[in-house]
Amino acid sequence: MNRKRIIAITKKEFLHAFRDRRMLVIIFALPVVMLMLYGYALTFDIRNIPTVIMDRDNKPITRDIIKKLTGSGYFKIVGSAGDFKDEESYLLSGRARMAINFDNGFSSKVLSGEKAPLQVIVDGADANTAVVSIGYLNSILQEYSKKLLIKAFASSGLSSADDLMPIDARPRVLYNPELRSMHFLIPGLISFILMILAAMIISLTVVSEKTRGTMEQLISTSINPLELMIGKMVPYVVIGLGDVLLCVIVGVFVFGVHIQGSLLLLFFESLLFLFGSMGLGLAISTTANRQEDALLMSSMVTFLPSMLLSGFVFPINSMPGIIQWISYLVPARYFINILRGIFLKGIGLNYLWPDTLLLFVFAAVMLTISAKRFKKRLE
Amino acid sequence: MGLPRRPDCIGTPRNDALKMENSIIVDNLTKKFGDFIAVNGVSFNVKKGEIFGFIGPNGAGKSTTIRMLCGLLEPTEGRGSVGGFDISGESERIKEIIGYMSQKFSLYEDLTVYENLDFYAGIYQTPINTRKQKIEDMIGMAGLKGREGELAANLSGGLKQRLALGCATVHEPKILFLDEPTSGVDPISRRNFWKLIYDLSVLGTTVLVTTHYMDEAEHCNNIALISDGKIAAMGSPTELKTNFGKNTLEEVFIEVSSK
Repeated sequence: MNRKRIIAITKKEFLHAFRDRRMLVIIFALPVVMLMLYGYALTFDIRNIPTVIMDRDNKPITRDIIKKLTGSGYFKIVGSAGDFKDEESYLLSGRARMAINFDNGFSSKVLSGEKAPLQVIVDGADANTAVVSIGYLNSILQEYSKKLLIKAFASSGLSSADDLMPIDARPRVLYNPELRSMHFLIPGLISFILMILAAMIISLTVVSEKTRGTMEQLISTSINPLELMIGKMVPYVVIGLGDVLLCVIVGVFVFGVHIQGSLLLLFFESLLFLFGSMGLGLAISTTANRQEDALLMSSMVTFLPSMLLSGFVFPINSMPGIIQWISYLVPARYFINILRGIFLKGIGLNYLWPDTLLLFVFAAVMLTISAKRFKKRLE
Repeated sequence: MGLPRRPDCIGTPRNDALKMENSIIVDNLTKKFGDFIAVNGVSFNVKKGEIFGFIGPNGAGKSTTIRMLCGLLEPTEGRGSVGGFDISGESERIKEIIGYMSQKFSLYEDLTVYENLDFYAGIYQTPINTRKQKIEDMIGMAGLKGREGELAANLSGGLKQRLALGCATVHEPKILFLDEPTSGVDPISRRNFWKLIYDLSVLGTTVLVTTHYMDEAEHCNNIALISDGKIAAMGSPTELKTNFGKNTLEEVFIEVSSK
């Protein structure tokens, strides 16, 4: 191992990276753009569900309920319909996703203690939003019914309504009390960005040396494959950790994400993950001989799994068994787990060591494979 | 009981006299790619400080031979040594003492003239204190004074070629392998390039060069005419012409390759 040669390679890689505009875009703009996209556009928090109201009763109670709905922030009244046809056109055109119909005599039923049916029509095209909005509506109406009961009992001098409901769930949400999806997405985004940067770019730089013929020149010198690998990795370690810092800064200052755990541990784990991903990229570059192949292979093994099978967006617990097993092969799964632990729960290695160990194994295996496969011979 | 004899270090030449004589020794070298025989039982020697030309059409096996000698390809059969090191077992030792310029001028086009030279100086571990001077020398040699900051991509073919030569010789190799160094370069640049090769040879560098230009063969001390992976004839240009009774090497080549 020779330091001079490693430095020569590192210097050259930095020059390549900073002279290539497309590369600069990937390095600096990609993380920011992705954070902004996920932070603002692709939020999974459901708010302002466009709702159309058909109020045939039009009494204080119905108006009160409507006020409660809009006041919650989850529903936004986009209009009132005169008849079913009018209402349907709201749903068909997509101007509303939910319709609420108060029938004639709704409030008198409520006041006389009869069961008062309330018709709710939901656009099920977007299943997730539909389920969540029904949930919101139910809990708001339940709360309202409870209040009515309490009032009724109080006026008749009976005991409080709480005694009539034997089970009273009092949920307390830990780690992300406001249940904001950004807190949950940022860790996934960091892993996604690092994976793209490390695996894809490093495999592209090696393959482009092959196609340009400079690799033939390099292996005609007495450079050692490890020196070449290390020299190529150093710049992307620096850039990768810089990107982690960028994500943390944007997360904290733009999206108000708090980091409960140790920042040092965060960088240490990112480093482990980076080494694994770069090892993967280098291993790809020993098989691929064209840029297109490298791009295809690296997106097959990095992009898709770390998007779909890592728990980044879709919870692993709700995947079918065999897919859950496959997800154990996706290193991003462990990294995202670690990041969520550090960001949201503030836990350290005492809880995170199994995932850390697996990341370490991933890095060791990948780097060994690529070092073994990297030959200084032409085929 | 005498002192234990120091074992011959691996890689030291077995015969010092031989080293003075021959820089490159090739014996029955063969390379097969599947069924295709690219190089077929080639044998030749190159003396120290000589310019040895490997002459033949594209696809004759010139590049494959050079790549085997540089340790880039494993020979299928036969043996060879470069600078006293065996090409099969000691290829990494060979890589320390040779310079190699491949067919494509393997420059980093997005790096400047200076950065390319600086990179190879680093790879070849030129000492830091003399590196700057060495790079300056190479820039002067390549006729690139004043264009140090220019991207390699913007250079003409002839200048790229000389920069590539500078990169391949920044560590003052004992033996220089040039694979088609003048292909795709204008005649004046070709002539200038050969001047540079002469200069290196005068300083004691052994040069093995491949070309398909017959006029360039005349510049070599010795040449091997290669056709279909075999050496068809070998000798100095004058010898070959006399022996075959021809006026030009081209005629010699046509004669031997049609046999």
